Amino acid sequence: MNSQKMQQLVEQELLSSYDSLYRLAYTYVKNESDAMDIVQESSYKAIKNSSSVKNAAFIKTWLWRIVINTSLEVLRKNQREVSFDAAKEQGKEDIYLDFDTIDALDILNEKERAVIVLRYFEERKLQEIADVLEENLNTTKSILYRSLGKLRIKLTEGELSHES
Amino acid sequence: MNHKLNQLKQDYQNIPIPEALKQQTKLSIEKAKADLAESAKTTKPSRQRLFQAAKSDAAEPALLKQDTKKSSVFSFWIVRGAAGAAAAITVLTILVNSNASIAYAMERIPVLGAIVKVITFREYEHRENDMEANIKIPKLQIEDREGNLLEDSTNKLNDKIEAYTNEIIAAYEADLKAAGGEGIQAVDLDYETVTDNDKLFSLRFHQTVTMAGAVQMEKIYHIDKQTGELITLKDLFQEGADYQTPITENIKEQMKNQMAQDETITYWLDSDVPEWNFTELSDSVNFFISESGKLNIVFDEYKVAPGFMGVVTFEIPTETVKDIIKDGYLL
Repeated sequence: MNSQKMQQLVEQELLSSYDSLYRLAYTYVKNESDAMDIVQESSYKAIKNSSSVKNAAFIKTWLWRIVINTSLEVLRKNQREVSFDAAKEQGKEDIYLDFDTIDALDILNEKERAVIVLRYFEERKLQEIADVLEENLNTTKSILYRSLGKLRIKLTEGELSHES
Repeated sequence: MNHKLNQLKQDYQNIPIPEALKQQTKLSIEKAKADLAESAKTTKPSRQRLFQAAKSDAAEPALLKQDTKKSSVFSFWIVRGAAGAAAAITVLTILVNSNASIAYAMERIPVLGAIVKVITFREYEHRENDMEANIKIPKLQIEDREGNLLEDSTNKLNDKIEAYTNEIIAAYEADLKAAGGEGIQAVDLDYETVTDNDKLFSLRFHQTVTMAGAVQMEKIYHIDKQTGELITLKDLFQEGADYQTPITENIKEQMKNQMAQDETITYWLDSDVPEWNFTELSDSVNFFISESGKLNIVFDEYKVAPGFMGVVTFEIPTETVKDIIKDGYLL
């Protein structure tokens, strides 16, 4: 397949899945403007590098990976900014939506989070998720079980505090 | 736990998607494409600026532009004039086929019938505060197979192109004047050869006007290589044949099917505003013949669909027009 064609396919995929990509980014950064930047920057990177995709079947997983990596970049950058400029940051007017359960995902590390989001929310196959994470299938499975365990504790914790 | 997980999933699905997201995604895609086309010849794109601009204020346009101009070689045959950053400068670059590498890039490809080539170009460049225009105006030459200039056809084609580009420049200059230095606008016009085979030479112009959002417009010129003449859609068909009806009906059908299959797709077919509806193909509609020999009809943004659909293209099955098409154009 020539690179022109691949670029078209990447573009199509971006335009049909930008909302999923946005939600995934959102679970990392938790605010609209960063999540939007991430989708834009990821789209840019994807089109720019579309010629590096060898097989059209991998476009989806490749895009997920770009979004996750970009999200992590943004998180790291934000952390640095916070430590350098903590005073200013307090006046920041980003809109943070109040989703308690989404915040529960914070208990998970970056890989665990991706596994939960992709497996349960986006209903992707485990093999696809393994491709996104560049892990083998068994490792991916154990990450899934581990994250479910962590989430269970977190989510039931919430239940108890509600009841008491 | 399952209940909790379902709740979590629901909250995830309820994460609101910002209205501007699709448009911004498109802009990023376009920006990446433009940078790809320019890459290797220019400095690194100022992506930082792109995203900062987009972030700064939702109501403010995210101007996709680079903040410096380079006086480096642009594309194969184009040398960009250096433009001052602060002062308003209009540069018209005229480049003749004198330089070895340029001559190479413009090397003509021998074909049957007429030979069409881009011989020179001019560039209208302007920058002042946040107003920016970058308009490329090619000059073409049509020759018969012995290499004799077909003067009439050549002049006709270049006049058309010039009239078209002048219109774009005039609109930009009018906006510039009206805004009195306060305007924010970027106009970009580029072109490419989309078809060059035995039958047809087609040059496609891409115009992007970026203000609050970006609007894309396309213009495609076709030269019949057997005759060297400019042709429009009707010239593909036998004299007097009704090609509009079958093509219109086919496009309507495609619109309906696409909308039925994907609810995110919208065309103005049976909309609340009847005057927007697509009812009939005009003869001046843009088209091109794909590599696989299929007729493609191109509609500018907003012509037959809301802006988020962008420029839309319909491939017409050759079957639809097989009885009226002239030989050799379509497969």
